[in-house]
Amino acid sequence: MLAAVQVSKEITQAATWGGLTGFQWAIFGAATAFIGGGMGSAIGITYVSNVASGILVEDPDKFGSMLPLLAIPGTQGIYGLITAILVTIFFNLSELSGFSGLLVFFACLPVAFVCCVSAIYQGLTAASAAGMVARRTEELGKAMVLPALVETYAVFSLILTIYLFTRIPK
Amino acid sequence: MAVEPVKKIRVISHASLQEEVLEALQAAGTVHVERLSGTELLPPKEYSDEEQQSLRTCTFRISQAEFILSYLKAYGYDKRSFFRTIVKDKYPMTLEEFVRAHERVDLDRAYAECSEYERHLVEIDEKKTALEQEREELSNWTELQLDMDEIACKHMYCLLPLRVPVADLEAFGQALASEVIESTLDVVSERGSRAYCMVVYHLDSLGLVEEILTRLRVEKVTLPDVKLEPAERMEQVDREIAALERQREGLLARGQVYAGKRGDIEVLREYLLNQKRKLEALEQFGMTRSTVVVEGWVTEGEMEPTLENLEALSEEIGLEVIEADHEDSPPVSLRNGRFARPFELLVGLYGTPNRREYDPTWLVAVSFIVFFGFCIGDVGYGLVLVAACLLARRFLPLGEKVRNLLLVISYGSLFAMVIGALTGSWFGIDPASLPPLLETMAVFDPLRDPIPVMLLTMALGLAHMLSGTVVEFRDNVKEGNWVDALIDQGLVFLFFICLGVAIPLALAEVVPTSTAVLIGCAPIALMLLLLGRSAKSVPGKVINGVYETYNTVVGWMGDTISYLRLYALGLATFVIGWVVNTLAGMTLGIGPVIGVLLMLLILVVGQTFNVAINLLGAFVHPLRLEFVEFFGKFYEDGGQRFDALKYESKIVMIREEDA
Amino acid sequence: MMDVEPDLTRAMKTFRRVPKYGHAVGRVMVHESTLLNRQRMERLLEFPFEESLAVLMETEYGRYLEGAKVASDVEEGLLEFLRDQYGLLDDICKGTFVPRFMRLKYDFHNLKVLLKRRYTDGAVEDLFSGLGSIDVHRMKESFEASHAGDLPPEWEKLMLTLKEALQPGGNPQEVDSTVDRLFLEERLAVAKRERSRFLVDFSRACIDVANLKIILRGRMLEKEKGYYDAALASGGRLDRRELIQLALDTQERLTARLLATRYGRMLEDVLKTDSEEAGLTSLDRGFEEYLLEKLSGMKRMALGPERIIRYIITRENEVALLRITLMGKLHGLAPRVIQERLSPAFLKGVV
Repeated sequence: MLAAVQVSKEITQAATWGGLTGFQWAIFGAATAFIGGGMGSAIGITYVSNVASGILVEDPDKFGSMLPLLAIPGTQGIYGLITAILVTIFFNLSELSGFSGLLVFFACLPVAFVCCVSAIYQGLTAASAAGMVARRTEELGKAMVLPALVETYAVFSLILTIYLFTRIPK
Repeated sequence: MAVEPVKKIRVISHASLQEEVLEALQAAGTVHVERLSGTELLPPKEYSDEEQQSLRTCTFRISQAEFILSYLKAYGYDKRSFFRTIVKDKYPMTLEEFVRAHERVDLDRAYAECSEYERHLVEIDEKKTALEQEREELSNWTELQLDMDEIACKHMYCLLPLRVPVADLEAFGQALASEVIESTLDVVSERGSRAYCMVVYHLDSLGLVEEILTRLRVEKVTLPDVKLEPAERMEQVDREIAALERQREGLLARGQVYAGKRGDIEVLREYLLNQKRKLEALEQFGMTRSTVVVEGWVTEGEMEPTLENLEALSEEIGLEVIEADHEDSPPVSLRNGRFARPFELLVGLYGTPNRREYDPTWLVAVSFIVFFGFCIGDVGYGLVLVAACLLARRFLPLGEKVRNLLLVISYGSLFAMVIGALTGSWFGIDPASLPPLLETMAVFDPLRDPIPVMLLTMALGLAHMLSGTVVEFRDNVKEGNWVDALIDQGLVFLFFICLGVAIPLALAEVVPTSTAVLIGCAPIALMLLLLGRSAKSVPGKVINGVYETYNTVVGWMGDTISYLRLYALGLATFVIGWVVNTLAGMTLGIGPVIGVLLMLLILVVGQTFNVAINLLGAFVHPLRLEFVEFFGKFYEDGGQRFDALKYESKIVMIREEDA
Repeated sequence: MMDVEPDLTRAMKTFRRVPKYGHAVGRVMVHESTLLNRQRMERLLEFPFEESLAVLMETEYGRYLEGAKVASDVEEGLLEFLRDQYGLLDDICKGTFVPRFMRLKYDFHNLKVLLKRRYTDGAVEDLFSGLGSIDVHRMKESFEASHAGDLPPEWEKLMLTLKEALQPGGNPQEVDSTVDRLFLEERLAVAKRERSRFLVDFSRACIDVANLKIILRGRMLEKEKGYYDAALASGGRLDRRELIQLALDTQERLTARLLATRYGRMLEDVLKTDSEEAGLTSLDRGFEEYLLEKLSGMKRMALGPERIIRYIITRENEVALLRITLMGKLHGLAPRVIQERLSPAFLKGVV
């Protein structure tokens, strides 16, 4: 029993885990978080802008009301960026143990995956919402709330990731 | 701050005064015209032939104006800058000027000329396309030195121009040589994978040649039947195309006159639209043999001036004011104080409240400002936004809606400055390098110690949703649904009161944890018993009770967590600002001049981007909290919007005569 | 079973086709807002001809019907309108087979008219010029020369099949059913080239529906195997060989088998009624309802070719309705009579 505790202590405080140092793990996590969010946002925005380009060809006056819809799927990329930067602010990277670094990596995963998927689907939703605006510009308010519903989970993933950061032994 | 009370008004006048009454109503702009009495009491007005005619003319003239405007757009005269696509041209004018809009444009003439120009332009384009096609074909035959009208069957011999794939050329030549006597094949040119050839054959061999052409899939080419060589004809075609271009430009120049009048035409279209709206309002009129009857709604505040206005028209007009009774469904007009009025815009985005619903505008106003403040959460950005909004309101030609929107944003930005001071966020500058005074103002540190801020946002969310529940409680009581009020909303209050008692007790270790849990969960037992009451059978009540309780408890938890987004968005603003600042700081080391320039560039572009992207989030997410979490607790829309007959237009701003 | 794809690939397709059709869908979205709504349609019914035109002035049709006085003005105007709509389709769906898919029915209609002219002398119906993907004159020339000539390569095979199928002295009825079959098969081929699951599904449903109609009609007329060989199209979800067998089988077995297919629900009324006349009417209605269901299912996926096709079909329906309404008014029919004529036409453009 005592031996097991000691072994686990040794593992958690070792400088490397699985051959990577805490620094390396943490950077790996930060990069993963941004890759997920950024890729998702890029794809999501492509979807809306495809549809919006069509709408604008027919009705150039709608540009002002299309703009917010175009930007909405961009937030996930920002969440990825925030996560990545928080990793560097939160932890003293050079002194991070291998095991803590691994935990940082895991804590980054919610943002990486959820932001990626939600940005893509948000792009699809925003594209449909653009259709509402194409019909009636006054619908813009409602049309913007729909994609915002999809974003909820991206926000949650960011919150979870930040919360997990606070729980990781530094 | 509520749904404004409205009263019925009935105007009875002689049929000959109909036009004047209508005019006066539209000019006053205070009456929501609606036929209220049943058909048996008051027969609906039928359009006279004359009125039919004027409605038709009006519609036709609108489409004329639309056509001219779209023609001018297609012309290329409507090259708007990026800015102008967002802020449309506005035409401020007095009502008197607006009513005389048709005097400034001769619409029929403009329409006749523009449609003439358009027809010509289409014709020119068609001709040009045909010529360009011809030119393309001719370009393959420039080596041919033969007048093209010679290419035909004359004197027993035929000339036939052909397009043959280069790969098939040899086979074709052999086939011709072996099967058709007295035939020759000249290759005129080779362009890419096609060869262009001229075949000469005896008229008798026509069938044979045709057969070979079909077999080898060789295409015949039709060249223009003119007494010119292809190269000469090509020059001629070029000249003709140039002439068409000149004609086109001439036409465009002639249209310039109307392009200059675009503003007048737009105003005229707006006027005609108003005119049409007025004529269509006639449909709501009632009629007896010699009188017309207008019924409608007027808000209490506007009643006096409206009556005075109508009485001034003629003595022959009868006016009646009637209190609304229970059977009526009057339109809903919101009346709020100066502070909350701009926020009616946000409520309107969701839908006009049901007329029995409490007008939530002031609650939305307060909460939206707080949420917006959290999402921006920076003193510097708040300041910039306030300044930008106020400047835009002052100097740009904007519609009423946009002006209100800007006001909403400025209120929110003011609160963002408060939040910014409390969290130590000044243009995203690292808190460690702030002056000590500013640093001491910062009570929260969202970056390194996020939990307090998270709890604060959730607490605000709870307060927000509870206020919604209070509204629903009030609505239920007002409707006499005491049972619903006490069970559906009362239990929620009880639940939170019990939690509020149990948690401190448990934390202070006054009672054991198990007792605290019991106290906290007592209302849940009540919910299980009571929430399922709408089902008919007893097992149904049990199942429904469990389901509803689950929905209520889990729903409240989920909704509360949803307010955490305020924290996340606020943090996003700060972190991006911080990154921009750090990047800018790094460039400073590059060199004395370039470094500073680069730094300024990064700062300006980066911070602008940050404000823009977060402004969007700060608008959309609080709005979602209002619509989904808050309105979900109580709000019923479906009211009929108070829509007075008046002069209205998005681009013509009617100002008071004396202004 | 070529079109069975692994689930993941199918899921990814949802995403891949957005960039492909997104622009087109956006443009269609704007045009959708100009479709006539129900109220407008009803208002149209009540007014006399002149005023209907005034109502239409405010719509997309305004420019096309301006100053229309007689039947031919209306016909010409509406045709021109449809031509422009198809022009729009070409424009927004550049680089896809969607315009071909939609235009194909007009090409085959034209082909049919040409064939009919050959078999029964003189003009039977007018050619739809400008709506098919192939120029009417070119088709006529090639048709008279009996080879594909200038026509796109896939028509060569088609012409050949036609030539084989249509021995001299054949009867016009069979000409029609052969052309119908070739049309359905060719459209399925186009759908497959576009690689759109929706287009393929839709074409197959049309094939099945057409095949079932042929069988049920054929049995009433007691046709032989040769008839089914010529008329039944292949490529549907129901196997063609099995259908031919079934067509010659007993009524009980046919009923049992057909009710077990996906079309069972729709065929229930038809197979259980005794009167042939009633059976045929409910057959047509059942099929129309089925295809309509298929069409309204398109609403779900907002960003695929569904939305574009739904738009064009809705337009075509609208034009059909307008034609009937305006023609009725020109001939002085009462609104009620026109309305009665409208209901079957509602779905004319669907198949």
